[in-house]
Amino acid sequence: MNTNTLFRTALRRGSLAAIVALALATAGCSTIEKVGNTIGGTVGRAVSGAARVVSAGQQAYESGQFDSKDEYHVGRAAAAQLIQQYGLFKDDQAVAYLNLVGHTLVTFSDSRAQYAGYHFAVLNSNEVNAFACPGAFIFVTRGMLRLAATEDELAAVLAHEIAHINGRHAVKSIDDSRFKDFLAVMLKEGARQVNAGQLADIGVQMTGDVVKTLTVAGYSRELESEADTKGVAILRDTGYDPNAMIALLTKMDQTLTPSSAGFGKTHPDTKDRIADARKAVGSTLPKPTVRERQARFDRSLALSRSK
Amino acid sequence: MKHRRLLCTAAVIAGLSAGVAVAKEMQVQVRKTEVRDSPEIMGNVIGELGLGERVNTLVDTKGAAFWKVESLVRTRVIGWIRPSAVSEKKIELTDSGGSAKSVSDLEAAMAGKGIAGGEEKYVQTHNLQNAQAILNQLEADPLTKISVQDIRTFITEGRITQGGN
Repeated sequence: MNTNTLFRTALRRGSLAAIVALALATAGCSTIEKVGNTIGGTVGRAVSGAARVVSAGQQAYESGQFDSKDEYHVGRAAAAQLIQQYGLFKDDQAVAYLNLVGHTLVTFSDSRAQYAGYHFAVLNSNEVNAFACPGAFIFVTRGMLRLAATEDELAAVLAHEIAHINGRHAVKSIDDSRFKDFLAVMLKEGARQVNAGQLADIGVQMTGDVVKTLTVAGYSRELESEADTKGVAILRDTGYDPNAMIALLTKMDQTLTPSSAGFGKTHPDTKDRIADARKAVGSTLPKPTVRERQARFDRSLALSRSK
Repeated sequence: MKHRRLLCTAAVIAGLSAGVAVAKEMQVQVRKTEVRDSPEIMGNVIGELGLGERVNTLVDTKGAAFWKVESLVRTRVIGWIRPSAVSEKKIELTDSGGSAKSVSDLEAAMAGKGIAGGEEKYVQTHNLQNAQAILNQLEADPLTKISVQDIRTFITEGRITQGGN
């Protein structure tokens, strides 16, 4: 099927999103186009909107072609890779507690609905690290649980990871050429059935990109800064002490070196991040420790934090 | 007659500019979503909608944290949900014989298709079957399912106060 036929098919189906996606898929990965606020809007909106850079990834997401279920499956494969690499630590008390802290933060954040909801778990590793896989699988290592000394500091770790999920940072780390290929396949008739093999291969490549970002390359300084800043906002909105983010990053700065395994390797210089977090916290004074909160933190994480 | 037409046009324009919502049919795009009795974070959960369930939007202000919807499948399920839980994208609700599919049927029908097939292929290529089984257990673990009531209790017990200490 040539481009003209595809265009006519899309027109017949009344799918503006598909037309715009096709135009971009054939024009290149990152093109400055005149598009409206939402690709699924009317033609009038689409041609009268402001100019902005549109990637194939954005197109796939905004047109609804790459949806929360696709994101979930990429995330599941990445999560399985992390579980294989580190092992899940079996500690029911810690899992229950992490999910209570985590879901409380999610409730007060501007989180998008996730296909299968959020899941929080502990990885059996001494590395100081935490991961947010697409589809909202969040893992914290035992090393990170030892570094956090209070529930508010643990909340800072989780709020940072939730901000990565809300910002779809892992999905944004996928090479845009994958989405270009994905859109090209999706525009064909009955794509999900007919081209299942091609889409599966693209899914494998997408997962590879996400795993590489999570475990080797890390996010850009901009995305980490965004996660810290939004994490501070989530802490504040939930009622935790936003200064906990500064406290945690300061500990990391004192503990980790660029050669450290895990977080130290995949995250940018903590001094810059502390400065960003300070800016986000502003003049809010540190809150005193709440005895009940500290008691449940110590009790719930005793096993996972033990050496 | 001309007068009446003018009045009707004016009423429509006034309605649109006042933000009066026109019901729009959408489908749930997540496995399940909670329906609340008010557009509030801690609003009481009064029901649940499942994957593929058709709803009419009753209040769908752009940028709002919650939309009011009405289930077109179950009677008396009307309430507030997160806008990102629904989509205009069509999810096939019947099998080739025209029978209605359950959520698990829907998921089974979609399994291995598209990007979901990528998960399976990645798992096989990297020998992650055991890790995937552990992940399945984590997803099914009741300890990871937290209700609004659980959160209320957790907040109270930990003396977490929004907007103060």
